[in-house]
Amino acid sequence: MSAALRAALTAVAALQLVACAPVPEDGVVIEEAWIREAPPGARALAGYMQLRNQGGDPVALLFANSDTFDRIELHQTLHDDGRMRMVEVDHVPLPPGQTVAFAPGGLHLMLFAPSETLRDGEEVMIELTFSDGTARDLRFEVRDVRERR
Amino acid sequence: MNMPRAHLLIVVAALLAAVIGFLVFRDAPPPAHQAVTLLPEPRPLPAFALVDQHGAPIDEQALTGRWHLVFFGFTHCPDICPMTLQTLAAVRGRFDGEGSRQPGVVFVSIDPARDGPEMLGDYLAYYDPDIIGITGAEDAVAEFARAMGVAVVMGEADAQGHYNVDHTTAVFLLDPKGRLAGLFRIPHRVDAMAQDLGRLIGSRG
Repeated sequence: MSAALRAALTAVAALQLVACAPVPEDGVVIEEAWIREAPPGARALAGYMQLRNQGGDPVALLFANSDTFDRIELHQTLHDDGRMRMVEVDHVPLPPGQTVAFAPGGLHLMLFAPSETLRDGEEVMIELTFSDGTARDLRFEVRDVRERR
Repeated sequence: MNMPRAHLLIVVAALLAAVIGFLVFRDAPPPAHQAVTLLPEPRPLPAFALVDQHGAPIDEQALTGRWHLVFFGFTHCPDICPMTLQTLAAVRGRFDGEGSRQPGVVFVSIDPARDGPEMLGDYLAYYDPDIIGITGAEDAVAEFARAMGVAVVMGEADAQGHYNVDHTTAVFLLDPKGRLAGLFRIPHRVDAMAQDLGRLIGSRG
């Protein structure tokens, strides 16, 4: 590993530490929370994140709510036989010690009817409710992920 | 082991490698395509009479004169459809400045009830204003999708009137004569798709 790469990785690691600093040691650590910037007028957006259950007990993500959206559902994109299906899931299990990724083409927060057009760099608060009775307010960053031409 | 013997071994090994290499590669086919599945013979595109995102009539004749990438989707799809459009716009961008060698991108809405021309126009312009959007009467769109072999399943509307549309994720490839030449299955990767297209366009464009 080159010195530059090592330095970059250290910097990334440090940023992630800062990003999730106020998290209890044994709780669910949530990183990389972002929303895909959508075309103007789009009525449905997708939110992504990584959840790591640092505790010893299984827990599940039950709901997501936000003032910015009419409604949020937990969705999973499924591919079978060349066809894409999007299904709502009742909850997302977070087994102890494991990371569950909400990522493009898989699990995502389905964000219905934004109250305004969300632009790259803006931040949106979303509250996540877990099966252990805890709830967390999480900051999602809107990102424009188009490839520049 | 003394030096001459070591040298002899190296020479024999090199000769063996050369012979094996010759035997293995003399009949090797030209480098295979990475992402596209070509039909044995291009097939005519099913006829259609629909509208584009400007509300103008469009039919299969519009999809000739260059290679086209055709994707079926809908604008209320927040995950796969944006990913695919982004990928196709990027693939098209790799051919900027190449005139008619640059492939066109076509997005057919399988949800015309919600995706009128204006909605479709705004949506597609975000990715690339040159993407051709196609919508129209619900039965005409459904008929075109069926003729293309695109599986479309309209979901049940919930209390808020939202519904999903399950659909085929393959991207269809049309040749400059407007014939169905092949398809790209998921995952769709910009580099692999652009490379395959470059080869096809170079050889047949």
